[in-house]
Amino acid sequence: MTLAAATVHPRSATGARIEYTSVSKKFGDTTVLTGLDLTVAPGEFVALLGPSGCGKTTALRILAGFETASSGTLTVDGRDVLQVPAHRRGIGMVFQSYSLFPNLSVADNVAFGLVVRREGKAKRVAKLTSLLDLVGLPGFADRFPAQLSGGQQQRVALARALAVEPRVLLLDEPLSALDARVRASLREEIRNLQLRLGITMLFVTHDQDEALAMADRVAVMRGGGIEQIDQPGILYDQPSTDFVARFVGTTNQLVIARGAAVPEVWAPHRDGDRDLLYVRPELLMLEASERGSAHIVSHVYRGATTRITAKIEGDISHGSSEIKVDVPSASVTELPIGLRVRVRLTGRPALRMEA
Amino acid sequence: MVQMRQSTRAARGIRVVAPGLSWALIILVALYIAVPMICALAFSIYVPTTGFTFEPYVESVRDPGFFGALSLTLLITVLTVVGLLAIMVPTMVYLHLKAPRWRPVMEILCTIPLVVPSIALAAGLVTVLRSMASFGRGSAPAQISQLLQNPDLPIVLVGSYIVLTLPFVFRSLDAGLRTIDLRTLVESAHSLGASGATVLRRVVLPNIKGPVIFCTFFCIALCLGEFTMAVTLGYRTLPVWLTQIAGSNFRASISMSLLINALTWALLIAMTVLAGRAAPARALALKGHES
Repeated sequence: MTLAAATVHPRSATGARIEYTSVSKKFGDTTVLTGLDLTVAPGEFVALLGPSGCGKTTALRILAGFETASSGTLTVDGRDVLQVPAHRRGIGMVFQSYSLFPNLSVADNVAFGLVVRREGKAKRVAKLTSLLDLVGLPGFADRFPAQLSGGQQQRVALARALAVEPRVLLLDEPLSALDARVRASLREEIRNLQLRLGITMLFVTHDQDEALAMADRVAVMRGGGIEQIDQPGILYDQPSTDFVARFVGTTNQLVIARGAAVPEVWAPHRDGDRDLLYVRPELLMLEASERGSAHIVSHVYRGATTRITAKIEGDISHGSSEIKVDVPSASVTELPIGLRVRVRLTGRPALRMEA
Repeated sequence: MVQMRQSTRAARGIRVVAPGLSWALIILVALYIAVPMICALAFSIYVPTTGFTFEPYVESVRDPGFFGALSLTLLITVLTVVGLLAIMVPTMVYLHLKAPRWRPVMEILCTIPLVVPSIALAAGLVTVLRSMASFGRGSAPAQISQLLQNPDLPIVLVGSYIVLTLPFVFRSLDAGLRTIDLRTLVESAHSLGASGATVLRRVVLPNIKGPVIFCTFFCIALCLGEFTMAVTLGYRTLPVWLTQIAGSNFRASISMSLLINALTWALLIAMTVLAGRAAPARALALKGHES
């Protein structure tokens, strides 16, 4: 599977181009990466999304220089980096666990890379001020890591990584350890930063919301390779495999007769050859109907919308036995638990496959 | 705050001992340590026939062998501390990062000096050195044997002392490295452009300051007091010299051993203070976190 960068990116001034070519990685007998091909355009933000063990973190760590590749080539701006030691690659990294040096103040943490590079004091001070402003922590220079909240620590880690002006920044689930609200705000801030600075970013996450919200393109990984890489909208509306359809967002799998047209009102098809339709919860409607094939079993309130689950009656050998539908919370009273309903499709299925 | 502490103790199932009893225990231990030293002090400065005197101290320092023994011991001490840290810190970091599977093997290896008596180690060393020397004058093994036993720079003794400290140093450094997220810290530093040596010096060492200071102290104490290896290998270190003058001037040898003891205690206190200072940032930080 060769995947060229979608377009030449407009913000390519500072970011570097990354090219994985058939990169594989084995740990003993287990293969973690099976010939990964991935091209990231300069200044592009690509998220590697997948369940644990899919190889996404290994792919990132090989680029950072913390793991070796078993075979394949990996270039940054055309230069092969696999033989370059980690500390000479000039690739920044933000980690999942809090990685600040506990013995150093915020100022010394941020300045660490500059000190190692023997930059002058004047430059360090100027950099520090502007970076702390950039990550929204002015006045925190003299604090120590243990005095900061998780979100603040990750901001400092970001500032520290950016201090040495890397052309590539890797983020290994940097938000996973944070609570939901901080995560949401930091997510936006990282994206805005990336747009402003034009750095190429590779972001590893198992959180699909994060990937869809932040990235220019999302690479869904599975079993050591990329299953699909596309812009978030395309990934969601037109998944290329059932794995992607199920992993990104929620889908209902509806069984219809093989080759039949997509029905307006759906009823389970139980005999002969069948096709599966993958339909998003917001593209289905439940209508009260005496002859309907399902009945409502639960409501889960989510604020503006409520997710209603309806159980399909009878034996379902393929597809889902429960239908999940999102409706505006105001209209929930019309669909009480126990009501017999039929299922109406209001939009195009994301994917159609033979069952 | 007090209430909270007690409740957590209760939760952990620790019985709170009456403060009176714990003080009694502390005093008992203090007496056990102090009484012999006080007696030795009294013995060294009070001569029944002539009264109070510092003569034994003056005599011991005036002994022609004293400065030679002192300088040799100090040289060995410095070399042992430097050698120990230079070998063990990188080794332990490597073990934790790259070869965690070998940790149990390393642990057993490092425990051996604790189970093998040092007289056995010394006897073994002497045998090896002698058999190397028996290859004949000028042969490579004999030259190596000679180099190791250089009377002004006894490498063999430095090496032996490093080995003797291993059981404690291994455990101390091992525990220290476990308390920090070593891998992430090292990788962060690498990604910021720091080479291996820089990472050790600027990131690893400062974050295991406590254990490193403990190792240093332990090593110094061992070097100042070790007798068996030194006497078996034929070096006149401070403890060896002490036993030698004990025959001719017992009072002087007691006074000198008191001085060495005091030096060791002073070092212990200095190290404790240093180790306490090593963590003020973190202690302060924890306070900040609670509020």
